[in-house]
Amino acid sequence: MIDTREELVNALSEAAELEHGLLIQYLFAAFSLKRRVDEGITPVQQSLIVDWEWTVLRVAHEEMYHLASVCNLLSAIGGAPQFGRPNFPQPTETSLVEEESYYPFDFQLERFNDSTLYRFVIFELPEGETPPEPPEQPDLEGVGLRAAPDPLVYSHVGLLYSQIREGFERIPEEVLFIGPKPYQDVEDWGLRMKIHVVKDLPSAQEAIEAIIIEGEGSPGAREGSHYDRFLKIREALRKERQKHPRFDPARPVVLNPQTRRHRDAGEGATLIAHEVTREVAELFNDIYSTMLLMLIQYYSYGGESASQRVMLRDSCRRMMSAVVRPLAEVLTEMPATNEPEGGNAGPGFEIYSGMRLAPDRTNRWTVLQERLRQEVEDSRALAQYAGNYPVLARLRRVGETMQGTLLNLTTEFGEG
Amino acid sequence: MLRLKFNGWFQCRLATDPDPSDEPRGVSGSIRALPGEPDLDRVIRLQPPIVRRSHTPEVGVEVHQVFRDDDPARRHPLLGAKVVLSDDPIFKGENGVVAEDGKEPIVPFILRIANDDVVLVRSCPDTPDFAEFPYDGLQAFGIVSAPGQIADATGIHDIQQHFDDRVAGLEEEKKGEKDPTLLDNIERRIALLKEVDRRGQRVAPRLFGFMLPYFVPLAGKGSVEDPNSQLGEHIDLNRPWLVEFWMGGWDPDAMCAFMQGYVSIPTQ
Repeated sequence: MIDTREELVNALSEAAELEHGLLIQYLFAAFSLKRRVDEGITPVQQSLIVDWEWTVLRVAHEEMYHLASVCNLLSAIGGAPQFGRPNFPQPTETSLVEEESYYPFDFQLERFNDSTLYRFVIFELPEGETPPEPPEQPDLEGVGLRAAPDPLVYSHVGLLYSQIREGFERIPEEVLFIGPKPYQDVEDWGLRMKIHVVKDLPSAQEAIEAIIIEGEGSPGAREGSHYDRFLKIREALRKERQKHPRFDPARPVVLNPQTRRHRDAGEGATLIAHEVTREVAELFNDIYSTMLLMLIQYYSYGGESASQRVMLRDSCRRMMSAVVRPLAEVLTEMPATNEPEGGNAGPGFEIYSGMRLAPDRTNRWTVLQERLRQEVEDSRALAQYAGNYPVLARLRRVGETMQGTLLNLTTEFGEG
Repeated sequence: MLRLKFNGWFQCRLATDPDPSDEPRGVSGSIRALPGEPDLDRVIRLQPPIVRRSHTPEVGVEVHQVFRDDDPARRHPLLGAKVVLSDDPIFKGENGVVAEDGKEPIVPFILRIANDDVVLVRSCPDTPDFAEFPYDGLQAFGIVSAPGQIADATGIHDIQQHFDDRVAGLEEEKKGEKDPTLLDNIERRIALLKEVDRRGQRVAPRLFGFMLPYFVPLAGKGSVEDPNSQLGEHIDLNRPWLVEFWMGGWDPDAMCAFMQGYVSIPTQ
């Protein structure tokens, strides 16, 4: 039961981790999809696949907004923003001690296929809803329906949020809401979606309800929820496979691609052995961490001016579209190993070390600036391999965009 | 002083936010290449060849009026001349990193005006303001709402009806189409033209009434070809030419917009 501030902060922090982990799994599956007809798909399938990618990316965008709303909920009760999370994979079945598994369902970076869609449906499963038929792999029986360890016990995302809502309702409002009112993200981040401002119990309830409804839908009205959208994609995939049994909409991306082993990750990762690909994957991970640092800085309200905060926010948003996604797509076309049948790599979203905000505002900018400079250099260096791997030509633009981002930030934060 | 007034439709097949600007097919933004169509390339094309979809406007920006000082010239070798932006220019916004929405610079900026015999070419200065991030000298002046001006220029006073007429044409085309890919394409175009947002507003006409104004001094490299002395005057390449124009009336199905403007060319 959640009935203290600490328990509520812990539960919201776990919700933030969950949202972050979910959206990355959705992004990974979306980025693994084939794009061109020379990848063994028909023109009509190409359109179908773009529709699926659009839907999965849209759900991922909504998860980003959920994450922002959770940050507002945390801020309203005196909590800190939560952008850390354990590295992938976080499986349940292969854990040495199953009771110690990190989440109550498998967290895997897996290419788009029926079993991935099934996991997504289970993530968003409404309370009381009967799970759909599992995929035709016998080893997946029972995935995602086990309980997490105490004190937080939940079997699906909506249930965690229900407990969080109850926690908000149990703790007296005048005691709970101690967060400064201006410390709320009120931006739409350019996607015409709503981040909920939290200042009291009704606004907290509204924010949580919106997250649950977007994920599960409301009882008797699942249309348009994440759960419903994933079910529909799964059905469309099944129909297309009936017509074309060998149809495979995704590139041969390996499971949980990683550049190195992580102490906080479970078993089931695939180490990227191909040297150039590993360097690109390391650059991707580095840039992803830089973006997370910027988000932490943005949501920490640590003394940056209004215009500096706008630049941080805009730079993050632009990096998601113009840097993170192109690099992720590039990786799904690069070899994971040196073997011809070794599969393709993918974005591992690895976090190499804990991310913490420097207490001094000037130091924060120096750290950020050093990272961005190095990433510009690395992008340019890796673009040199485009002769052997044409897909790496996109890194020239990634380098230009990172350089532009650095210059934009410099106009606000100075030379450092 | 020679002043040339030009206008016409141009095409730019570009991915839009939140797609990355080099996205080749269009996924999460509002623009998509349809199966069988080439990849999106962001190039601003003022003349054919283009990827023209059925029932969409004919592309071609041309000189429609010529003024010598203040007087309109009834006959002039540049009347009807084709206007081109050379060297495959793009709207270089790069998801807002280079410039915010509505301020995207056109990079590179080389104006070419050509008839059968006469060819005028002039580029923007080769200075950092025009050649380097964030291309301040080439940026547009922001999004301006100008539905009346755009309607006058395009002749389209009711964009919703205009798109409804196109939908009717596509519905008719659909009846005779047997190819599953082309049929799918027609259905997707109809869906795009009929799409409404959460408030019940049509999406496709949303940007039609807006324009981006540009003003670019052309003081870089230039050339004049007039082998038969048709111009009857000497074009001055030592002084800057000035080009002012707007781009607006965005048609997301055609991936076309309208442009209209003037170029002022000093003579001796």
